[in-house]
Amino acid sequence: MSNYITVQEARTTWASGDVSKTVSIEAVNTDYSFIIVKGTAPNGNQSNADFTAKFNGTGASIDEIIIERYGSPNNTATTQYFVVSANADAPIIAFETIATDEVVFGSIDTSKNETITGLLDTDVVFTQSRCNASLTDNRERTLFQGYRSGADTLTLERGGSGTEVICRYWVIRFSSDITVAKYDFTMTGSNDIDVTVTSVDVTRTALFVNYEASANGLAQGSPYLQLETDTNVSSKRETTNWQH
Amino acid sequence: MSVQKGRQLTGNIDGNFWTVEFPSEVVVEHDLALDAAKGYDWHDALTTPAASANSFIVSTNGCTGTGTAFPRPNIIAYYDEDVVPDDQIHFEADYSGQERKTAWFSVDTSLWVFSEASAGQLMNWA
Repeated sequence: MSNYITVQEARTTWASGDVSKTVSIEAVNTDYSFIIVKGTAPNGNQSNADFTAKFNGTGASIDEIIIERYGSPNNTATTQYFVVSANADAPIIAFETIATDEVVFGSIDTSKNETITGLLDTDVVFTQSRCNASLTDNRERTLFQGYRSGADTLTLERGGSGTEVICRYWVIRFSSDITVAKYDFTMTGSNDIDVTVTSVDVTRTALFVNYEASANGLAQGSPYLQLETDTNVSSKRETTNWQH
Repeated sequence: MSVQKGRQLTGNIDGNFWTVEFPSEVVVEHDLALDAAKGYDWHDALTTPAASANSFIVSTNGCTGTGTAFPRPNIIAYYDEDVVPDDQIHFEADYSGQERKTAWFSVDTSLWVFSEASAGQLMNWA
């Protein structure tokens, strides 16, 4: 038997000043693969912990990924990635990577459009970013939402300007055997909202999220989204103490 | 429909989310992991141990504090590659000092399989 989806994961440590690592993986087809990457770092610049990841090339047998941060990071870091791949030989291919690319946001830029022919609302978009290493705060400048704003248009937006940031987006189209629904959410004057969703089976449903924030601050730019019931998704933020 | 509740305002969030409902063979667990100790590493239990060769995690993080001591909200979530299958999700934050919450979804696709023979048949028919 063969799996519809395979995953490769690993952690990598970074020395202060490191900005790029090329990591060997088992070969994957980039048309049917995506990378989730996250980073964490000790105190210092926000940019120390902001990473993007991409495949080192495109095609049916790519065996390296490149993880990057930006500028001159002034501390160590740890990254963790998942390379998620759909089996292209399966009766149904679980998903297809419709598009992935990088967009440079200059210091004053807050919104940019990318042309992606045939983009659907049900195409899942997630973003990663790496920013100028001199940035010591203003996390909101590094957070991006991405959404379909027109028939062939992906819009990428952030809630604050003032620093050059590179945003990488991934657009994933799941097969018809996987049910996808898209929702938007806004937290204005509230740290706790509910969004009603079409009923899902909570034992086999995950949330993919992207967002922008308007205010600088730890709690301000850190919402967490939960599937509370089969028809309810909550988004919450903390303040100075636990609120929930 | 979005419903607001009365809580403290600290800037706005605008975003999108997608509910991705996998076939019945896929096991998705989800929970909220608390870092009440404001530490560097913590974990949360999985009911069904995850096969890391076929599992991945998507998550969002909350963080207390309204200051700018970044990058405290940056957290990584992973399965221990030396423990297969792993019955825990591990969290790491290299900058301590604030409490964090991680809303995580562990997607285990290891039971979603097909036979090579049937795949070949379908390909031949095409």
